[in-house]
Amino acid sequence: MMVESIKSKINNIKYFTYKKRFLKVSLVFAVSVLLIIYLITRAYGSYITTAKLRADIDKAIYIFEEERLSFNIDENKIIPSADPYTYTFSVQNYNTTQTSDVDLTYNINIRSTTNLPLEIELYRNESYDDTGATNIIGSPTLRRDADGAWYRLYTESDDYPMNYNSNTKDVFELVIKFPASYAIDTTYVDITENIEVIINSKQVI
Amino acid sequence: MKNRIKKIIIVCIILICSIFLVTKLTYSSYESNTKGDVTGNIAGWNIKVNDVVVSNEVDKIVDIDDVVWNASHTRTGKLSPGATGTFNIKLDFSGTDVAVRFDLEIIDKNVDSNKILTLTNIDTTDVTLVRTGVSKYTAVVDVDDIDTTLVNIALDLSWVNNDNVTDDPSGNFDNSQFLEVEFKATQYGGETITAYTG
Repeated sequence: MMVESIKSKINNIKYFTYKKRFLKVSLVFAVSVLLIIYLITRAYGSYITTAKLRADIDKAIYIFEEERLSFNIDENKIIPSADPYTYTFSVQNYNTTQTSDVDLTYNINIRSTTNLPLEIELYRNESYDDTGATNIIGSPTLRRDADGAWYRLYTESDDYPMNYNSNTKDVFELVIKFPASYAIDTTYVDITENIEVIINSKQVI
Repeated sequence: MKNRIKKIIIVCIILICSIFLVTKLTYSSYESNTKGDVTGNIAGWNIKVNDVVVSNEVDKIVDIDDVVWNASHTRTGKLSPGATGTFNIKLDFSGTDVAVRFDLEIIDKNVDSNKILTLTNIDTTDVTLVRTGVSKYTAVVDVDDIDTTLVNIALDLSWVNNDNVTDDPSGNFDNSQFLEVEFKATQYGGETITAYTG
């Protein structure tokens, strides 16, 4: 009886082992079949091609350079004088290696505070003391900014052109006069004046 | 019981083999063998975009220099704000043995605000181009027309000037910043090409 029972148990174990092996083999077979089907559909699927097209573009460069050339005002003081103070600067449409690829125009505005009784003039490609020299900015108008502060705006200059087919450089002389008659007036001692040179340039479309 | 089953199996095998052998001997005089191979030619798939082969490619970058710019007050050949131009795409499917469907998706400033150029018109007289999306166009080239149809597509582009925007004055730009066209060619299976209705 006991022997029979042991034999029966041994048979059950063998059966279970065979069953497990069978299941493993079946699983591997099923996975292989699925893999083969997948690869075949990939290998023999319909044709497809994708590409990204871009324009090979040479973009124009815009060059407008300003250069401060000289400034003979002592940044710490300015006193009434018969001689004006001069500040020279230049603008150009090229740098050391390239010229602008587009035509451009520019103009110049001068703004100053109203603290000192200064007279300001601007000369283009000439000096103020050249014969027949022309001041390119007119008399100032008084304006108020958004904060309510007063400032002087000197009449905007004309628009000056610079063409892409040539290297162009314009030299400007800013002349600041603080008349000598104010020398005996102590009202303006230690007063600061701010002068702003605004250069606007833009491409010609 | 087990032994009995074994015996039955052995007998069955012997019987099967015998029957096979007998029939083989009886009809051997009429036996003949034939052997045939089934062969097929794989259909060709040849795609060129502006003479660049892209047949087996995925997302290949093709830079097209066939662009003519109209930009006043600008050095010849250069692109500047306010310019207009035409970008020409040339598609060659000759050597392909199946009907081809191709899609063009134009990624311009209307689609991606970081792009510089805007598409103003797309035109071709070689195929019927159907607008199938906001910026997507589709056409089919029949297999009968494959070898005789060179598809030329003209894209009219513009760098729309905006005085409220200061453009980068340098020339340091990657071509992808101006405009991109995504091209896709697939074997046409007869599916319906549905026009975009907005």
